[in-house]
Amino acid sequence: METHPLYIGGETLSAGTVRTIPLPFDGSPVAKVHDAPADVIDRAVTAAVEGQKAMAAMTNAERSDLLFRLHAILSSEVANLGTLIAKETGKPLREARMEADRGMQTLLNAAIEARQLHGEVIPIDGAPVGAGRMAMTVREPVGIIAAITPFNVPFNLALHKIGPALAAGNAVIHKPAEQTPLSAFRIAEGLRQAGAPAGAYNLITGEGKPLGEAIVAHPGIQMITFTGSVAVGKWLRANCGLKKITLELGNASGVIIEPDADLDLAVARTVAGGFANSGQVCISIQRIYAHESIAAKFTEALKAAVEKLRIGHPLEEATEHSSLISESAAKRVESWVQDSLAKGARLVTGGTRDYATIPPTVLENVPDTAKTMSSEIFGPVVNVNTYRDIDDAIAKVNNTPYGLQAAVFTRDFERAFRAARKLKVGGVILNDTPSFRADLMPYGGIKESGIGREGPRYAIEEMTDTKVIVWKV
Amino acid sequence: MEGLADWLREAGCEGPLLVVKDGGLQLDLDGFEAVVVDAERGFDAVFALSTFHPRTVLAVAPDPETLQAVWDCLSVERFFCVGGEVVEAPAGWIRHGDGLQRFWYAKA
Repeated sequence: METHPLYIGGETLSAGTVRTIPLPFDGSPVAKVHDAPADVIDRAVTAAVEGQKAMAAMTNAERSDLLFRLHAILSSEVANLGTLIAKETGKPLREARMEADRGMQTLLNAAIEARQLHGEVIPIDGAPVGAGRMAMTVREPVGIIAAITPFNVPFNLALHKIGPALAAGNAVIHKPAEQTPLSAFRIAEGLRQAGAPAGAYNLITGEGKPLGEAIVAHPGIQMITFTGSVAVGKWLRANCGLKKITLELGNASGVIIEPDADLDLAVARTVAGGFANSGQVCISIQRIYAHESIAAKFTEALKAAVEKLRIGHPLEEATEHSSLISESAAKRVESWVQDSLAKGARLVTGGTRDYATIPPTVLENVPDTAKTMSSEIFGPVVNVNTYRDIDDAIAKVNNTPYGLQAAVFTRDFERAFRAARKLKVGGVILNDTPSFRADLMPYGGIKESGIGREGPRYAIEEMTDTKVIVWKV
Repeated sequence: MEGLADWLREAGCEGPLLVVKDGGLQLDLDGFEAVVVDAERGFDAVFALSTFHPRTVLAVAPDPETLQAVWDCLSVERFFCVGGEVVEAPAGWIRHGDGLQRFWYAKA
């Protein structure tokens, strides 16, 4: 079985203890990685200083070409990447291949945006002191960025940080989730083949806590970009001092289904948006508010649709639904479902557990106090409740500490846009699942869902500083 | 495509290689560092040559457009062809090998 070394300064490094990565579905071993000691961060920063100088010295076109080369290299092995992602996450092969393809879109857009990096001319003589002067801004890389990425979408969400960071002339120290570091090694190898400067990308695998503490404490790191849980996001922000930080955190995505909605569409998109990757998606559907006049019909159709999903081994072509990231994660989801049932919810379908796999689970009439309603479940569980008035439904969707994305199904243009303006979230999706995301669009949350935006163009804004240049003419 | 790596070594190829091919075909490139760009996924020779600036190219059954792109690429010094038709090397290039399926060109 292959043991993957760390990748620092363009070279591999074996450091720390060796750990086996299991296939989440059944615990069988997949590969071995190193759990790096915390002092490796200092070594990575030393390498990244040189890498960042080289990246910053490149032109926009050269950085764009570097990312196009990485795109070409990874695209030629996208089928293998899909298999690798399925092995490390336990998501079905068809979803893993989709993630690999989306990663290519992310890279492509980062490569395009690298060519667009620009400042603006400031009309400085609009101020009395500006008379006889001209001014312009330029975007400069922040420097060294620590990218801490999650287990659920390990390849594409890593590229959402690495692509824009390199496009803007930064160096990256990448700490993938301890459960799913394998696809990052392909990114490292791809960047090496593409001719990235040594130290531009550095890959450190290992436990989150010691490496996270070393990252927040290191004065040589200028920015942290993190995707993961609210708790860790808050800890990072509280401890990172004056480093820039962007946080893509959790959600308990709400959906409103109006009486005039296309119910077939709403059911089909709920199946996709509620149960893909076993619900382990930040914007997975969790709370559905169906109008009381159509709720029973919707729930019945949803039950029939999810019970048709083929549950099985993630590496089998026919599998549509597979395991969560671990048995312990599945046990937690199972206990939350039991909590909802104890508080009066009705089980429509699912609710059982087989090792790390929980079948698509639908609950209805779930009280707001139940955990499956009030907290991010990160599992294949959808709650269906009813409402009478759309303003009441909007208030219910907003009644959460989170604010990432929400959705409305209706054919009524006016109500759709009224809801879109009133929903307190970073993104509203009309007539589709709140888990819709095109990789070029701005993506990010408000409230406890995070700070900052991703999507290559928007991430580049976060990963650059504005410098103003004023001259007397 | 068996024996390809041996043939490349016998021809003095040291790599790294930029490989331009259509999808599906498995190539024996054992021992060579290679970046494979696949026309089926949208990476044609013009794109690959302009972003990778390779010194050595391997093309599988190249079409006239690919051939021309390689001839025109300033960085390419050696060009290995497999499975294509024998064509006259343009000025500045010398063709080596007389096999119908495997031949290579070097800048004069």
